[in-house]
Amino acid sequence: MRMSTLGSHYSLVNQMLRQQSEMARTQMQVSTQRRVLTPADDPIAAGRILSLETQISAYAQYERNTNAVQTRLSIEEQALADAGTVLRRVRDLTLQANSGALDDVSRAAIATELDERIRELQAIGNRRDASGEFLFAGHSTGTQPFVRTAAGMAYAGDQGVREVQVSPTQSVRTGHDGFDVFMDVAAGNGSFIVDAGALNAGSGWIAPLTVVDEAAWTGGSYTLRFVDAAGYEILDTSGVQVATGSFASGDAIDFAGVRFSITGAPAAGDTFTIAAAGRQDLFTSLDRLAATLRLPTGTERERAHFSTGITTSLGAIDARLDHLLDVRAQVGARLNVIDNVNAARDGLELELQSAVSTLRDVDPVEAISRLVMQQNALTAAQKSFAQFSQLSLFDYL
Amino acid sequence: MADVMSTAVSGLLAFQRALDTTSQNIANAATPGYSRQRVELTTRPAQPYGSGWIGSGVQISTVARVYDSFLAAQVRSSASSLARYDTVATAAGRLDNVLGESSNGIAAAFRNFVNAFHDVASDPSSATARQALLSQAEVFVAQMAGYDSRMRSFASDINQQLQAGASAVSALASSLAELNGQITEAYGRTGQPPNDLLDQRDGLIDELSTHVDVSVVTQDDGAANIFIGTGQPLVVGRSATTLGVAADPFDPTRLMLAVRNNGAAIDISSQVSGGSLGGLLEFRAQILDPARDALGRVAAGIVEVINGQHARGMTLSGAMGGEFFAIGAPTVLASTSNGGGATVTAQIGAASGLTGSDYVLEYTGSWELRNATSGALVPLSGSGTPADPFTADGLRLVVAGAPAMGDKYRIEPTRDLIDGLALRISDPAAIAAASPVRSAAAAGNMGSGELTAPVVTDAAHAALRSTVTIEFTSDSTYMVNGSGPFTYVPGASVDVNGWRAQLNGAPAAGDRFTVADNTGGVGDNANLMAIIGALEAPALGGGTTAIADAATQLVSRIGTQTAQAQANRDAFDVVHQQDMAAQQSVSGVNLDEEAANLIMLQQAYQAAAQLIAVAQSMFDSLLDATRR
Repeated sequence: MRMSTLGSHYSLVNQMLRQQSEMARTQMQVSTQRRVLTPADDPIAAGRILSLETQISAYAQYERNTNAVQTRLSIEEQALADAGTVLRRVRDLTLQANSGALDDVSRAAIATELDERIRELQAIGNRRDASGEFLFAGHSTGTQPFVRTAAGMAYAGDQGVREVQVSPTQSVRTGHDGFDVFMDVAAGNGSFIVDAGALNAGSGWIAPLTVVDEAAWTGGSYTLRFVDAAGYEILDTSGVQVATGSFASGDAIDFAGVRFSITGAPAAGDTFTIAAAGRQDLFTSLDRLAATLRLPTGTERERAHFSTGITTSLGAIDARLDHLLDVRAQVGARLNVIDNVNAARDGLELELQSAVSTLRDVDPVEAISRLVMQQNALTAAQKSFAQFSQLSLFDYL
Repeated sequence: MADVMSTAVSGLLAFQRALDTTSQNIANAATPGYSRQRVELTTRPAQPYGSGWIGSGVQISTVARVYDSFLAAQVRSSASSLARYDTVATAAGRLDNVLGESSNGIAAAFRNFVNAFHDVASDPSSATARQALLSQAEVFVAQMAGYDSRMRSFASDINQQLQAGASAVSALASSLAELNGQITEAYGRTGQPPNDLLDQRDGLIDELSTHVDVSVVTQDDGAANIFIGTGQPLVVGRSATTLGVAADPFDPTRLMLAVRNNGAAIDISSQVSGGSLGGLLEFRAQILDPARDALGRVAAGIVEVINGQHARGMTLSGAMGGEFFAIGAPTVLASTSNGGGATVTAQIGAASGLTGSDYVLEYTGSWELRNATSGALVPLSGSGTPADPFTADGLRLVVAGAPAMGDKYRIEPTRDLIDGLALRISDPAAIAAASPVRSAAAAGNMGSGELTAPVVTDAAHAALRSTVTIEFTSDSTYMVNGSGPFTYVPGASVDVNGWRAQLNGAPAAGDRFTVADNTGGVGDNANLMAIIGALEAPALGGGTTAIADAATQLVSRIGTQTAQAQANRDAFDVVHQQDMAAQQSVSGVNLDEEAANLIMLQQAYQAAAQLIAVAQSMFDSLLDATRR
């Protein structure tokens, strides 16, 4: 092909320009360590990178969320552990008071300590989390949840529980409301409650034992009345006799699937009640225990009352300890979920990062060898340009 | 001798002219657009003698330029395409850089905003987290507005460039018309081609081809008629048409290419596809407008989702959440040729129905809505009144007044939405993180029944926050606020007063649940969780596309279009250089060739001069012979 001087000049120059721009691009890739500099470099990879980075950013957020939840749940767990310790101390105090060797004054001293313990529990219920929110107030985190009123302990919080998302598909509850933990607890031993009639003349006292047959226990209310010192009848709420039996002190009485015992010498006409366990808050239970501890125990009859009170209170404390353990178990399960989520997320984040890196990052060996190659080509182009430019017939004229 | 003399002189003159031409070629070796010239030599008519025909020397028939009009047309065609794709690639690359940057692009802006919601959800009563959310929302609004204003400035740049390009084309056209005149005149006067004028004209046409696609038809008299686009005459003989800009019939801020014909501007934008002007029009129609539409659609989705859910929540002070964002309304542009006095207003009905297309609403006795791009009829439902607006593709249209037949309105649903995007909340406490109502089980419930947290379905319900009591009259029936009884099945929904909650578990007779005002519920994050869930749900594209995906798609699409334009540009760069090389190989000056010609012509000239000496010595010999 015939070459024109201007044309070959331009084509040589254009080639050098193109090589320089390619080199600049490679140089940019090497210096930024990125293969995809703008989305136009590889639109498909760029789209993938964007959505992967969105996911990475989301996971970073989930990590922050789990940290917040973890802190809050740990604080809650500590509070529950402390409440358990206090309750166990209360249980010890109760056993100590029940030993019989104590006089009224010593029991009153125990009652005073119990009052302190109740206040300690109230303080635990009013604890705050790391950001100053009341832990056990439900959604009303700005309202002190446990307030003592004339009628006893009142719960000013609500029953809301916050959830926080810890992974794209999982959210975790960040605590428990105080209603659930302290207020809405089954009374008595958790299944049924027993009590002695206030006007009982004898020394019989009642202890709730256990539920022997869940299916038979209907949850009704019954009154056990002593016909004489050796026999009793059981009446339902309408006063209809549903069972009778003969009495022996301390023997277990099985009725309608539940088992209880009456000890001592009840008088004819003494009554005891058996009813389904309703709900009673922890503080009321303890207040009643404190009141029991302050009861006089001078007479048989008074001692019977005292014994009934102590026995039911012990059952109640055990049921509440169990409840606290349940709640702690839930907290533990949630913390466990978070651990699993964290482990899964760490793996996933690594996967995502490496996927982004594969898509976006340049292979340094390849890029640098490309750069060297382009440099060689450019040098060759420059040399050949210089050589070519020197060729002219005019030199020989 | 006289013959020898005259033959020698004819050779001297011819070689002198040829040397002139060679020197002209050498002098113009570096002149762009110069076509090498060649002296066409022919023999002079021979003289008849009895012994035969004796030649009488050489003459110059013409000085021709070496030129191939087919190659020139190819160069122009590839120059047009190159300029077109170069314009598109450059503009798209700028847009790509604005939107695509992964660390501060639109996808990152949206994600940071969502993350700020998470932070408040983790700690709803924290003023710091709330303030951070507002700041992040402001950053998001500013970023969206930044993209929007960048894209608007692209649009106004395009207007300016169209204007500048059109006046450049017009200037070229008038120069070409003038050159046509000079060329015709020169032809007529000498009958010989005015090579340098022709080169000049070709240079101008080449320049014109970088602005628009051109076709050239040469006339017998030497004039070239020039057509642009798909056949719009620009230069005919000595008269040139002025290319200008005219406002779009719907949108006065949008300029189109137009020719003036008897005072009327005729829009020829659709006919122009090549050159930088074609590239500008293509970039605007194919890349910039769709990108603005898509960005507006993303904003519409975000605002609809957040505002919709935010209004169902309760602020820190206990009030119902208001609007989180304000956003603009769809643009409705009346055609300048409308005769009637109807007004059309548009609103976004449902962001998920938005398609990103433009529409034309036309009155043809009844209102007809057409997709502006495809022309397909879009079915309208409703009657167009404020109470019962037309609805189609996520839009709500209200028409009022009396239209004339053929009146048209152009609707750009999402293009200008971001213009009105603003944060409506300035008080961190006004973020509605909580649900306005909460459920509670009564103390002393004997069963294991539970009432889930109520979900607000109608934030405007007058009794939304009134206390509602659900009481079980047996383990399988319940009353709601004393009305009923309703039969209980686990999972039963209770829909009252604009909220919905589910009953689960095994409640016992006498169990009570209440739903009441969430007074003091500062630690509640239920509404934020709902917002986060809704933001991650597929809210666009008829419920197929999540907002983050729509943002990613926008970036990907612009990236693809940019890559495509760059690939086309690179391809046409090569084609153009090949075409140039082909043309140069025919028309370009080769200095070695000229040097060789120079030697040949110089030798020929010297030989012709020697002939004169020979003739003189012949004459002298004759004189010497007769003197004796």
